[in-house]
Amino acid sequence: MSYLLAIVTFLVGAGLGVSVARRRMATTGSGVSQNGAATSPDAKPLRQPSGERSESNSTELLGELHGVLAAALNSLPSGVVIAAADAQVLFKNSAAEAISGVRHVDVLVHEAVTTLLKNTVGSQPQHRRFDTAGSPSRSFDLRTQRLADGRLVATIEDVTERTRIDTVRTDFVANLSHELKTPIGGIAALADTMMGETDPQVIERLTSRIVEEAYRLSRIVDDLLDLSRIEFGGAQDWEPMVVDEVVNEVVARLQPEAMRAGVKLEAKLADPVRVLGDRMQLVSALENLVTNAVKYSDDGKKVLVEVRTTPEFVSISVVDQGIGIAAKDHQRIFERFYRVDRARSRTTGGSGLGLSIVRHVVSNHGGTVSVVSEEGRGSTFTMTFPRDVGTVRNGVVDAAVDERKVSV
Amino acid sequence: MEETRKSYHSELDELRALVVHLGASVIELIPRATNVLLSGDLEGADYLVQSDDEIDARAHDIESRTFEILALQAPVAGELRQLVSIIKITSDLERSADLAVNICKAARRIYGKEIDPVLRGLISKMSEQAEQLYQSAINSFAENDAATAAAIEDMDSFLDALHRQFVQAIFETHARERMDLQLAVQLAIVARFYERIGDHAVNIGERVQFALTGWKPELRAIQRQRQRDATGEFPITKG
Repeated sequence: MSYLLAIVTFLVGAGLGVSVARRRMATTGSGVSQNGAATSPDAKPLRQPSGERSESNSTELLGELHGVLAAALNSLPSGVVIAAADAQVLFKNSAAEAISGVRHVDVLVHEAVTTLLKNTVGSQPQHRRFDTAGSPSRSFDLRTQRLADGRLVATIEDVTERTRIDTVRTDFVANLSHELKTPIGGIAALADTMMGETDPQVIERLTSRIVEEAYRLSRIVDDLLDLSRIEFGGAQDWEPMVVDEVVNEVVARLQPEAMRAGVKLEAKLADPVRVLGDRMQLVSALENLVTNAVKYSDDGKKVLVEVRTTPEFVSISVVDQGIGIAAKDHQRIFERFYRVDRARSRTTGGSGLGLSIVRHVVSNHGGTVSVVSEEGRGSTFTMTFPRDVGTVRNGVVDAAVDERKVSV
Repeated sequence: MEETRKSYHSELDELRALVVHLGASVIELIPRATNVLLSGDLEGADYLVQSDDEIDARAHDIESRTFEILALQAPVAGELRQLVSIIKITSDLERSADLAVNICKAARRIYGKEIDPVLRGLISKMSEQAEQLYQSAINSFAENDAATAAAIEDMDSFLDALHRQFVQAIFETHARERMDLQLAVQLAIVARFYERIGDHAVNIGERVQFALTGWKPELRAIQRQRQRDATGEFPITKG
């Protein structure tokens, strides 16, 4: 049984105890029974009645206890539903009333809870995962249990984020194994073939393939190390740099690759502004975005690297007219080794770490990265960084001067 | 007598809750059917096709209950309009679920064929738009919101535009020999299903307006026809 369900069972048990006590009081006129919390042996009234109490005082106390219990249940972030033995709902806490804030999702979750309550026979707790497919796509953990007096209690937990993290974790291990195993398997098979080969030309061809696979493996490990360095990197090597220079450097470096692919690579620069950061990291992030844009664009298409500025921020967008990315993958493409299309990744190559590196670089520099993309229409990746204070004149960066602090 | 009315009103509330519930199921069906289509999920397709029986049973239950209330309680004015609207809305919901199921059946027929990325993108957009229209329609019913109900028709024009764009993209993709004729025809039919789902959402919006205000789109046509009759404009001639 989950902790949440245990706590709720305790609270509800205490509440029901109070109800039982109230019923007894109504029939016998006695005070609150010490054994009132009949459904939960550990549950005690929140305040022990001292000595003889008048009926009105006791009623007041019971009212107060009910209020406290209801408030306690309402303060829980998860939904709690209490139902009669026939699954007729008696109470819903605030979280259960508005589970997701989207009507049709709430309606479907309540339907699932009602079904689960009806299926809760005997003392066997029930558990079910419930997922919705639409927008927003959500996951819920539903649990029910029958109390000693026959009533039922259900808890509803929104586990959307937890599910996402679990998926990322399990996919990471699977994807990492796949990425490393593929070149290793290739090397082993090639070496095996080479052992029985005598033709020098064939041996040469096999050797060059082994070298290729070894380089591929090395690139993956290098990227992993880079990523690890970026993830844990501090701000000790930071320097002010002009954004246009970073863009020009990357565009110049990748121009030959773009020409080979028949893709027109262009840069559109703004007024020169600077950011504070690790030059190598920023170059690496932009290089990854531009490499992807070129890689996933058809012959004759264009890739544009555009710099825009506002008084506080500078953004670098990489706009392509390539194959685009389906909306369902937008959230996941920044994960390590996540592949939108694993079959295609075999032909496009790459380590599967590029966008993960971009995300970490941007995050290290206090910026954001966003993607706007549609399948078949192309993608736009935009990195936005806070601007470094200071102005640039004739391409030369001056230190910022706060005129208010200048004394004559 | 008061007790009878109380029970009648609680029955009415229950009926409305059932309609919202059925609507929620249809909203959920739209993205599920799209996932089935785009991922070629045959198992998912079978599951959704079978789940249509439950939707039909629930729609039938709502209709039977509505007929019972109409027969036993003889409602008038707003309540009568509401019950009549519920019958029509239920029919729209049931038909929309059929259309979502048809998308799943189309997914079976095109299984194994690769859909061009441009078309995939447009299918996703049509699905999102149809789902949004349906969300607005069901919300307007649940909240008695005539303003939202009236806005659904305008919202639908975006889905219609996407439909036209999609058909154009099918021609272009087929012309580039990147898609065979069978796939092209199936996808054109699928696009029509989304467009029809949107139309049913518009219908629901109109039924909600009728229930709340007594207005229905046919009134515009009737008014136009009366004007023509009075002025003799646009005479309809035969032969």
